[in-house]
Amino acid sequence: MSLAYTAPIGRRGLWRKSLDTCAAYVRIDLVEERMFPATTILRYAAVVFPVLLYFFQGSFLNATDAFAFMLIGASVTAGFQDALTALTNRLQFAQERGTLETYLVEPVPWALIPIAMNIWRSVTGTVMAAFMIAFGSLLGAQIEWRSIPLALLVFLVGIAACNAIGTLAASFIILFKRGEPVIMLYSLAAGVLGGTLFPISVLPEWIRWVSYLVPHSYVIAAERQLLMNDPPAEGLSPLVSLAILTGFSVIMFAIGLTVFDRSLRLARKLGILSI
Amino acid sequence: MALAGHPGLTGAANKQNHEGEGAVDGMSAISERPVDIGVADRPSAGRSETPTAADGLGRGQRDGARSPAEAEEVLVLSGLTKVYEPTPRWMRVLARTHIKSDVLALDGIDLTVRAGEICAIVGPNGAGKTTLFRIIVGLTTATSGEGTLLGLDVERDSEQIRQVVGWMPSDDRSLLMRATARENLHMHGRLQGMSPRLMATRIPEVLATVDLESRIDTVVAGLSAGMKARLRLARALLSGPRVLILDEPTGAVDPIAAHGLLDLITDLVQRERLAVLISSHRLEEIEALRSQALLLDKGRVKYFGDLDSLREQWERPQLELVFASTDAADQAAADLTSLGLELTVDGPTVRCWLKVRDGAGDVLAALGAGARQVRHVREIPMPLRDLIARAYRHDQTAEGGPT
Repeated sequence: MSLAYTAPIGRRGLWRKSLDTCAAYVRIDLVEERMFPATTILRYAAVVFPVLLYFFQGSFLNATDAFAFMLIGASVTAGFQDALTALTNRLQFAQERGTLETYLVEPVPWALIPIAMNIWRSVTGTVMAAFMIAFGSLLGAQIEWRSIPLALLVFLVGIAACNAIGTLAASFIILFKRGEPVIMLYSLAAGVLGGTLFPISVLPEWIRWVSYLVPHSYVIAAERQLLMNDPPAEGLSPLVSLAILTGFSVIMFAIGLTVFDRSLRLARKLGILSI
Repeated sequence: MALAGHPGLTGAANKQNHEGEGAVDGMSAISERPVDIGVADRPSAGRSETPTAADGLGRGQRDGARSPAEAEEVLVLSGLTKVYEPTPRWMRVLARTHIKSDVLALDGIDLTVRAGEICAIVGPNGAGKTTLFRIIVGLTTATSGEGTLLGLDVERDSEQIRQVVGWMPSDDRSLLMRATARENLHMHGRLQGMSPRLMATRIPEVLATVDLESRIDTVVAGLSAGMKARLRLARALLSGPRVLILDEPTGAVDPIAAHGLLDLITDLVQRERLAVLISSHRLEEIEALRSQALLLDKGRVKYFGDLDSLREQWERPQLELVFASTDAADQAAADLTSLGLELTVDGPTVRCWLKVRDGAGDVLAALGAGARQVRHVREIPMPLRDLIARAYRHDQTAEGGPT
């Protein structure tokens, strides 16, 4: 049998390479999920408890709206957290395990790797947020179901913005071998500045402007406007939030991929790319 | 498509190409050009003349008329130098540098590997073997010098080079341990641009080649070290590379499995006319491959050529003389020592190191009448290990180092 490749691999366009890369990484993520079904089940089981926490807190405060308010904020944050940490964890694992070198010697642009690595977790993050909302609804949270499609769109754009931030963290990992500081800093800041459990209007004015730099705040505000029966009076309209988020994602992706590319070039020159 | 006349191209593959799977982004246009680079234009036994990503991309090699020897050249390195520098000062705020001063890893390496050739890179740890491989596959860059692979520049065209190189890293950690052999190859194939339909036939074929077909759906963690090594080789072969880079392929493999693996590699080189770069610490394996050898030490080339020439140049075989009695052996030892030969005496046996390769007759002649007492003569070739050690020692002596 001849091992010569019987069909030519030609020059693939960027679009085809992107598709191939995303398909390859999503498939291997599915393999992982299938290998460890208990992990998947427990991940979803775990988010039941924060929902219960906010349910009882809402009951204690005797305010059903407060429960829905906190539930939406917590769901968005939990979903984003999944998308934010997945890339850095995975890249770092690959770097320490030795598989990163194998990924890097594939004939695809390196900038595609962090994007492809994050796709599956972005999906699971979305499912997790939806699961929390659905469970909260079962406990009595009043949810505007007709707005779900637009709410989903806002969430996905928000996930894209988080992925862009994840790409910055990936650059950090490539150069410094650790990415947690970036993600930890961002996650903690986003929890406070994004208005997970309270409207950002309660923040002092001098710090509120920082909230506008955090995509969480736009997503959470838009989701509350869309999903709550009686949304807060103040805040941007969902469409404005969506427009800002889109712009934010595009700019952050451009910055993230540029920084990632520069980091790779420097790491390649220094010989520290995969060690 | 100008590929119709290619012997190894099946109708199915042609059909696949027309359907656009694999023939993406102008591949047809590339194939329709007269192929004039590297090894693609040269008929070879059993090898389908299938253009790859390199075809039409090798700028340097397309220019001008080239001699047949040049046309065979797959990898050409010229003055390749790599200096690892400490991380920039601004980076040290967040991470310590792992080196304090510049480290010269490669120093002006010149190397040419042709189609159908195996080049063994030999050297102690830190000699620069892995750095050389990493420059070729684009994981790091050379500080100076040039390198081309099928006419593609190792610095600028790294992505295309990775399309035509099969890379077998040195350890099993490069495999996805929790995935099956099929999934490991599927991921690699997809990233190489192979269609799912092509992979459905190609993966079992490649696994059959490395005798792992029955383990196609076994999780990698459950495979033995030898099987994992064969799986790494299968991954390197999956996309039909023109060049194989094998970094210590038999490192964790038992000697029998290693022998099988090397037989397979030798067979592939002959059949597919692949150019192979291989590093190994097992010198008997290097000898069995009958390859070219590049001896590296502290980033410099100590020797490059075939092993026979290395023997010609450096061999100092031992001559074993068994005498009729111990007294005769002692007398012969005294005579030979006075001639300046190094020797050992063990009862009636005298072993001396010849000064030149064909010096056995001179030794016997020097014994004079004592030669009549010789009952048995044997020339013991120098093990490759000692041969290489001698070559290294010689250079250290030349540099004023210890002998």
